[in-house]
Amino acid sequence: MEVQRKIQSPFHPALMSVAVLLIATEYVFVYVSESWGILLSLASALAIYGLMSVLELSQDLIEVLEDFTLLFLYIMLVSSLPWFFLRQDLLVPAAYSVVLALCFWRIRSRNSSIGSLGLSWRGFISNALIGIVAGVPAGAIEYYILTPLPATPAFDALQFLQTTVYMFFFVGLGEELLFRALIQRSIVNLVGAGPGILWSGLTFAAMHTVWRSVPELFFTFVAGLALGLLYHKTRNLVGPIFLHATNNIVLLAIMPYLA
Amino acid sequence: MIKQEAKKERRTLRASRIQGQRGATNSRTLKSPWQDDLALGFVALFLCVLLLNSFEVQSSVCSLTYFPSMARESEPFVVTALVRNAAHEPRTYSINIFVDGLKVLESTSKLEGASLLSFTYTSGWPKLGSATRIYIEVLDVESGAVYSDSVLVPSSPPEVWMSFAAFSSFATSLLSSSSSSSSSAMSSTFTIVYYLNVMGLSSALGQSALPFFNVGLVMTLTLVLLLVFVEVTDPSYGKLAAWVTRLRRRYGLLATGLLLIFLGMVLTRVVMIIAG
Repeated sequence: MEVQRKIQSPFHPALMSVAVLLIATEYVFVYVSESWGILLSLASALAIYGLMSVLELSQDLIEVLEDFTLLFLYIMLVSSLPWFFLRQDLLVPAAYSVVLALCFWRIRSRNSSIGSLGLSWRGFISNALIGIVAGVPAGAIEYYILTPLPATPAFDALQFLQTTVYMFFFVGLGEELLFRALIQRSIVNLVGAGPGILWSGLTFAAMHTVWRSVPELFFTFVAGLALGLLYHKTRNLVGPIFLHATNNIVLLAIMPYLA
Repeated sequence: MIKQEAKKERRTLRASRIQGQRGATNSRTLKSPWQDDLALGFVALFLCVLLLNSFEVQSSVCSLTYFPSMARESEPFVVTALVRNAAHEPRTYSINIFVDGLKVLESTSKLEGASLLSFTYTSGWPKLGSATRIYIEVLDVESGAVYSDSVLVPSSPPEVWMSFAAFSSFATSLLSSSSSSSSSAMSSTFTIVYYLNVMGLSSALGQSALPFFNVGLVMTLTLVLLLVFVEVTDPSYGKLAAWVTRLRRRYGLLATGLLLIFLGMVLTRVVMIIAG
């Protein structure tokens, strides 16, 4: 039997407060001081966990707060570990292992499964094709915003393969699990589909403040909306993962050699 | 007699509660046994990568530093590249320095045993929102080993490093030649200094980012408090309010994260002590 959910206002005070806190933390982290940013993310995680445990809140709101807190934990962990021990080419998989570990912990704690969150073989080919077709132009547009330099003096097949593996199995999978399968899904349950996708796009953009670029913020907001819409319509994570990964591959491993 | 019965009852209640918890855990395990393994697997993978690579940190043949660490847009900064020959016999090194992917210096030098060679490069401070990437690659002509180091000016959080360093021009030219060379770890003085400053571990250098707060200390104290909280709220000690149980579970995750960070700080200290 379908449980009738009570949709809350898109401007739910708790949701607004956590979003403002996240944006403030990212801003402080990027533009003021990394140390203050880390302390702010630790304090935010402590406060949110404390309040949501003590106060009597609806289950939907608790899910949203639990998922949002993963972002504060992510900021804290990724900024406070001694990454200089690693070879540079292992930074991406190592850092995204943190994201994946947080996501799997959350999936486990809510007694869910990645299959029920949309990572399934159902419609794999069509969803993958949609992702690839949309990801190519998106990556080209983002290239002209960020203009990253090529990784090697000439196109290198090994480098391309490495980037492809990283983008599909770490960046695409990690970020889509976090932003779409967890955060967007719980916000949509709380405030409805339209506002939920908007909130998730805003969160996705806020977490890209590290690029220190306003056009990139705008791009990631629009990309977040597109990824969110694709996930919501297809109820499948394969499309968003392919879109995200293809976008990043075009941005970093193809366009720098063509442009 | 009554006292004994009450005691017995309490014992039975506690045993049944523990049994209940075990039952709950078992039912969860039956639902999704692979999820626990997968999550643990990712954590284990991450730790293995971190630990294995810590053994790769070598006494760096080359390093880059820049001064001043904070400057205004119009002011210049100076990058110093150091090439060290730690061996006793003379060695020949081929040195290339790149700025934003463009080669600005190419030199071949013979260094006497236990000697040092330095180069300086001056540039304008990058505009707000942009960064200058400087990369040095040193080839040991005799052994064929390649060493590298890089700095991103201004100093940036790891996310930016991941974006720029992992995919940009200075970072991975090693990959193309890795079949014939060994590469140094990212033991950049800059990134170590960045980490030490941010975590407040650089008391010896007097460069802590926050003069009043020590981030590493705050995190360690928070970890201790959370561990005490998790310990004193163990359900087997007695009846707990529902909110305490919820808080315990959530703070347990936070404590795990802080423990990883603490281990990272300890590992850094140990490696620094060993490296002298």
